[in-house]
Amino acid sequence: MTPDKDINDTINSLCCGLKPVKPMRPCWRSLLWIVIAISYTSAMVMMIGFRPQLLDRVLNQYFIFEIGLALMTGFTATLATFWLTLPDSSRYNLFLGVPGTLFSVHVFWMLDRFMMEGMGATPKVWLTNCWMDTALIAGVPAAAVIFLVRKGASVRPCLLAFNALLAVASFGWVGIRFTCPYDSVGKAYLINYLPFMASGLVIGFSAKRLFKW
Amino acid sequence: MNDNQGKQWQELAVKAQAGDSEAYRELLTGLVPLLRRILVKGLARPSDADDIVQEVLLSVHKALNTYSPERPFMPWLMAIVNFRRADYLRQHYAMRKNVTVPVESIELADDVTDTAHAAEYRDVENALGTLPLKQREVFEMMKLKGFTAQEVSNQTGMSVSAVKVSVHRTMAKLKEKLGV
Repeated sequence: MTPDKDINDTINSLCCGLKPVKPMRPCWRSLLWIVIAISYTSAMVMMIGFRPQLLDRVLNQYFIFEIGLALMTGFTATLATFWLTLPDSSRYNLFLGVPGTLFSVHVFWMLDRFMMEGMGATPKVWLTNCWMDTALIAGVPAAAVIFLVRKGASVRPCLLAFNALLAVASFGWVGIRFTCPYDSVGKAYLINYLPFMASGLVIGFSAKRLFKW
Repeated sequence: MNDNQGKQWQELAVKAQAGDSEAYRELLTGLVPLLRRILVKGLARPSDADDIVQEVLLSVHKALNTYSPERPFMPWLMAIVNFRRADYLRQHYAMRKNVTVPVESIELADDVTDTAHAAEYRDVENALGTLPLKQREVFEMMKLKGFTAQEVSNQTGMSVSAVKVSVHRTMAKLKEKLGV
């Protein structure tokens, strides 16, 4: 079969199977996912129960800064994730650096606290360290983002996976800070971030397969 | 490609999103020459371009819902083209296709000979030399150079069946002359 005939056959079969499609709106999808993530996380936090002395913590400036930074990272990473589902996402390149920058600020903040305060208390029994809460809080938003993103056609699957993970981790981490009664660097950052880091590694390696189209 | 062409494709893509298969056919057919032109530049083997063109057409189909009607069409298309080309080349290098050569493209130098059968080769060459030029050319293309009947037909302007008949007759003549 000649190449021209092959291509004509392909065009014929594509035209025969054409169905109307609705153009994707990444902003609407971002909003939808944020609504899902916030309502689900709030419901889970209420179900698990608030941490003791929450009011004291909420008034603490460090706590407010950390939660604010995590929320900003979450919102911007969500937008970046859904913009990256478009093939021509390069027009948002300027914005795509924002979530990573906010995350870097978070990492520097953690290092700074680590230098000043040290590691702090770490759990004796690792399995009881709020990890079940993490799985409960982050599970559904993670599944939702994968479902919504797979409707798109990303040409940068690894960057997309990184931003999706950052979005899920940020909202999940905010939820955990309201239920898990520890604020030391060792607990609040290193150990509570561990499940997200581990899933990040897995998703990072399988991103191309996961978001193949 | 000019601005008008881009605008026209943008309109066709919007119609295709609405389910207009004729507009879609016009769009895809119009894209093929442009895609070939773009792709053939960066490839060692121009024949690979057609494979990538097909991949791009399939990707355009799958990603049609990601095209925003208010945005220009070309950046969207080019992002897909670059992605598919990179994908193709990654596979190409992973399978080490760049260091292997298809057997039909190997050209041996004229001075490479097999001395053990030199006399038989000379007999065959002499027998071929007695054939009419056109008949000899068709025979050499199909039996020595490995072209298909269709390819010989394309190059010589003869019909496919005429090519096959000519080769068949030549074979019979050679057998008779060589006494095989």
